[in-house]
Amino acid sequence: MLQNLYKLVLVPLFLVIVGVVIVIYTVNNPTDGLVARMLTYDNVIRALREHLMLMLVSMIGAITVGVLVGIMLSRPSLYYLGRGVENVVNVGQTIPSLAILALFFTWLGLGFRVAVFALFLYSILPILRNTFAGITSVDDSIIESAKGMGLNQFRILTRIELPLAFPIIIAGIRTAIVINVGAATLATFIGGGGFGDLIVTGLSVRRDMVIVTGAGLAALTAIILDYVIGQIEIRVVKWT
Amino acid sequence: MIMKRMLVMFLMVMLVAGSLFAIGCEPDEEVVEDPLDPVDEEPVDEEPPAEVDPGWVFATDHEYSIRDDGYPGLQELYGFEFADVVTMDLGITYGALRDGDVPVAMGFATDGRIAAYELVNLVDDKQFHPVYNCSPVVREETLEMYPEIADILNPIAAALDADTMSSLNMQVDIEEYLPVEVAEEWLMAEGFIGDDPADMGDGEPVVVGSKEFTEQLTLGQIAILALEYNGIPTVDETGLGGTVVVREAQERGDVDLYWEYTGTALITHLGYDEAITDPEECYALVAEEDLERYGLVWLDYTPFDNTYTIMMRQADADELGITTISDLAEAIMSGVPAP
Amino acid sequence: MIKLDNVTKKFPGMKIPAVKDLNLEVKEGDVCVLVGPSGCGKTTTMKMINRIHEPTEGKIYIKGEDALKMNPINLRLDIGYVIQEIGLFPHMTIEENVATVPNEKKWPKDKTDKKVDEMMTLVGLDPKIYRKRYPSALSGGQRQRVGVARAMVSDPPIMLMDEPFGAVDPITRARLQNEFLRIQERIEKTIVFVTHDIDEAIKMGDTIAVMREGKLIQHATPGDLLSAPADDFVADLVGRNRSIKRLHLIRIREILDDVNRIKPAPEDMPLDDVKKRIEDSDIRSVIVVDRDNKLKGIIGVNDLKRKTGEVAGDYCQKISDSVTDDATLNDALSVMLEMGEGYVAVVNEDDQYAGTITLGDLLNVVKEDN
Repeated sequence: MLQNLYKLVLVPLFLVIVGVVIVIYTVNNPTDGLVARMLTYDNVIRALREHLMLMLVSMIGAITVGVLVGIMLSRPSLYYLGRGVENVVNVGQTIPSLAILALFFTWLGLGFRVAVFALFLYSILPILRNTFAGITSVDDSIIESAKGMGLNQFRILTRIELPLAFPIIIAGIRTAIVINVGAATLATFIGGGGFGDLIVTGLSVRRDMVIVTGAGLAALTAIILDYVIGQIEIRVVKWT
Repeated sequence: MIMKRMLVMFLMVMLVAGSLFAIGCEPDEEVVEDPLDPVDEEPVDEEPPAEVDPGWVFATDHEYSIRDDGYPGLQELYGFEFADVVTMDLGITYGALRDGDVPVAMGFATDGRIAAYELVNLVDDKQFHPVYNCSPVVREETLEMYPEIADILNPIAAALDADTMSSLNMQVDIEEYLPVEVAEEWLMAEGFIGDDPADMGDGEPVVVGSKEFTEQLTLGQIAILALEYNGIPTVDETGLGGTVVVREAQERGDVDLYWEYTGTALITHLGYDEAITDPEECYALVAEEDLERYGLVWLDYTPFDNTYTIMMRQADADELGITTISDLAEAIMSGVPAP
Repeated sequence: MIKLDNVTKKFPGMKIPAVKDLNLEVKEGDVCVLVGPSGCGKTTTMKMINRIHEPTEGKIYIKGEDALKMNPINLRLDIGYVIQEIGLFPHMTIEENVATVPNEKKWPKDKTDKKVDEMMTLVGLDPKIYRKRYPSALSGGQRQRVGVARAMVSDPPIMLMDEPFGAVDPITRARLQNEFLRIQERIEKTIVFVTHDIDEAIKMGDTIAVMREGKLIQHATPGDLLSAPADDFVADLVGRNRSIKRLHLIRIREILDDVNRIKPAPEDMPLDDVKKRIEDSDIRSVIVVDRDNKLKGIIGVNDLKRKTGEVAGDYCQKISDSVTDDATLNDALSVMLEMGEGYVAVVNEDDQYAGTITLGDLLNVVKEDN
C-alpha cells in the first residue's frame, strides 16, 4: 500500500514540484527584460492551463471515440470495414501533425477549439488502431470457449475481449499522448495557446531561457501523464 | 474485478489531473518580489480595465507580441490595451482578420493580402513603428565598375510607393504570377524598360541576390531586368535565404547587389539597440555607417516602408471612423464594442 | 440423452458437407468418443450439440427436447465445454476461470466459492495454493485440470470435450485420463469426447463412434469395435495389434485379485522371515511396505546376499514408479517398459500398496483373450 502511494502519488508529485521549481526559478531570475516580460506567473500559468486543456480535452475525446469506434469495427460483421479503416488510419498517421493543424486551420479557422479538434482527430488514430488490433488479436480458442460456456456477445466483449486487449489499447493511448504533447506545442501557430506560445516566442527573439522553460514544462506534462498511465497498466494487467 | 480496478485507476488519473489543474489555477500567493524595473515588468496580457469590450482581441505573431518595438511599446505609447492577445504564425494574421476571428491584427505594411482581403493599415500617427524603407545596396567595387547602376535604379526606387509595392506583392501572392512576370510588366508600364535593350556588355556580371519572400523576389527581378535592359550582365541569385545569409554573402563579395531595409540594417547589421522612426534620419545613418564600415553603398530608398502595421477590416474601420492607431486606442478605451 | 437425427452440416463456400446424414445417440451417463482422422467432421459434430455450429439439416434432441429451438445461451450454460487448447482466460485467476459459469448464472458468492473449492480439489489442485494464481503460472497438465474443473463446476448433465488431454506429455496424459475416469465413475455425466487417438478412445469410451469424411462408419462398444470392425477402414484404424489394444480395456484391479500371490513384507520384518517368504513363493522378490501399508521398496534375492542390517527395511531398493489400481493394463505395461523391469507395484487411491503385476500376468490376459 505504501509502495502504491509512493508510485502513484509521490513520483508524479515530485515531477510537479520539479516543474514548479523551474517556473519559480526562471520567473525570478530572468536574463533580461524581454525574458522577464515573457516569463511571468500569469503567462506561464495561462500557458499551462491552455496546454492541459488542449491535451486533456483532445485526449479524453480521442480515447472515448477511438475505443468505441475500435470496438464497433472489431465486430465480425464489420471486420473487413475495420481492416480498411486500419489502413486508412495508418496512412493518416504519416501526415505530419503540423500539416493536420494547417489543414484544419484552412477549413475551420483558428483558435483553441480548432486546435483541440485537430489534436483530437490526430490522437484518435493510434487509439482506434490499437483497440481494433487488440480485440481482433484475442485468441480464437479463448473466444470460442467463452461462447461455448454460454457467454453472450456483450459479456464476451466486456469480460474477455476488452480486458485482454487492455494492454494494447493502453499502448495506443500512450502513443497518442506522445504525439499529442508534441502536436499541442504547434497549436500556437494557429492561436491555440499552450506552451508553444513560450517556445515559439522564445525562438523568435532568441531567448533560450524562455524556450527551455516552455519545452521543459511541456515535456514534464507528457512524462507525468505517461507515467500515470503506465502505472495504471501495471496495476490492471496482472496476468502476464 | 478487472472493471472495478480500471474504474479505480481512472478515478486516480482524474485526481492527478485535477490536482495538476488546481496547481495551475491557484493564484500566486507567494510571488516573490520582482526585482525588475517597472517598464520591463509590464505583462502582455494584464487584466484589462473593466470597460474594454472583451471582443477586442489582437492577433499577432510571436515576435511582435514581445519585442520592445512591438506590442508592449505600442500599448504604452498609445495608452491602450486589448482585451486579449492571440499569438499565431505571422502568415495567418491576415486570414484571421479577414475571416472575422479577430477585429485587429498586425502584419507588414506592403503585404499584398492587405488589399486583396479588403483590410486597411491604420496610420501610425505617433510614429511608433521603426521605418523599413528599402534601398538597393551595392558593393563599392561594383559601383566603380558600373557607375550607371545608380542612375538606373534610383528612379525605379523612387517610383516604388506603398500602393505600388502592395499591388506587386498581391499579383504574386494572390493572383499567382511569377515575380519575374510581375516585375517585367511593371517596368514596361512605367517605361523603365522597353522594346529597345542596349547591347549586352562583356564585363564582369553583377550578382543580384535577395531574401526568400515575395517582396524580395520581385525587387530582385526588377533589378535584374533593369540592369540587363541597360546592357549590364547579371547573375540571378535571388531567393538565397534569410537576412543574415544574404548579407554575409554580400560582405564576402559573393553577392554584389540586393535590396535591404533601413530598419533591418540598423538593428541587425549595424547592431543599434534603438530603432529610428524617421525615414530620412534612419537612411542617412545607415548609408554612412555601412559605407564606412563595410564598403557598401546605399542607393536612393523607396517611398514604401515595409514596417509593422496594425490592420482592421476596411468596412469596420469606416463604420467606426477609425483611420489612425490613436483612433483605435480611443475607441477601445472608451468602451466601444468590438466589431 | 443426446440424439442427432439425420444431421448435415455444410459450411458456406464448401462443396462437400463437413457432416453428412449423421445419426447418433448417446445414453445418459455414457462417454461417447468421436474418433477419426482430422477433417472427418468429429469436432464439427460435437460443436453442433451446443450450437457453436448450427446444423444445415436435421434435428438434435437433448433430453428429448429440440435443442435447435432452445435459447443457445441457456443451452450452453447447461453443457460443460472443454476445447482443444483449453481456452483458459489468461487475464483471470484460476478461481475466476472456474467460476465463469456460476457467475453467468448469478449464483450467490458463498455457493460459488464452495463449489470452486470442491471442483479444484476434485481435479487435484489445492485451492489454497492455486485459487489466486493466473493460468500462465500453471503447467500444461494443471491447465487441463482447470479446464475440466471449469466445465464441471455448475454440474451440467452433459459435457463436451474436444481433445481435452491433447497438449500434454504421454505420462501426464495417462494420469489425467485415469483421474478423469475415476471422477466420471462418481459423477456419471453424459460425455461427448473427441479425439484422434484410437488408444485414448478405447480407454475412455463406453461407446466409440468412428467417423470418416463426415460420415459415421461404426458406433459400438470398444470391445465390439476391436473384435468386429465394420470395414477395412475401422480395422485399419484399430490396427493389427488388437490384442495389445485390448490391454486398454482392462483395469488393473479387475485382475489384481487373481494374481496377488505374495503378501508384502512389513519394513520391520526380520531378515530370515523375508528369506523364507521368498523361498516359499515362485517369485524372486518381495515388496516392502511401511506401517501405513505404503510402498517402501523391493527386495530381490540378490539383495539378501548383502549383510547390511537386521530387518527388511534395511535391504530394500527404492521403486521408481508405480501405477494406480484404476489404470489400465496398458498403463501398467508402459510403466514396466519405462522402468525396464518385469513387474510394477500397484497402489490404491489412498496410495496404499494393493499388489504387484508382472509381465507374465499380462501375457496370460492376452493369451486368454485369444
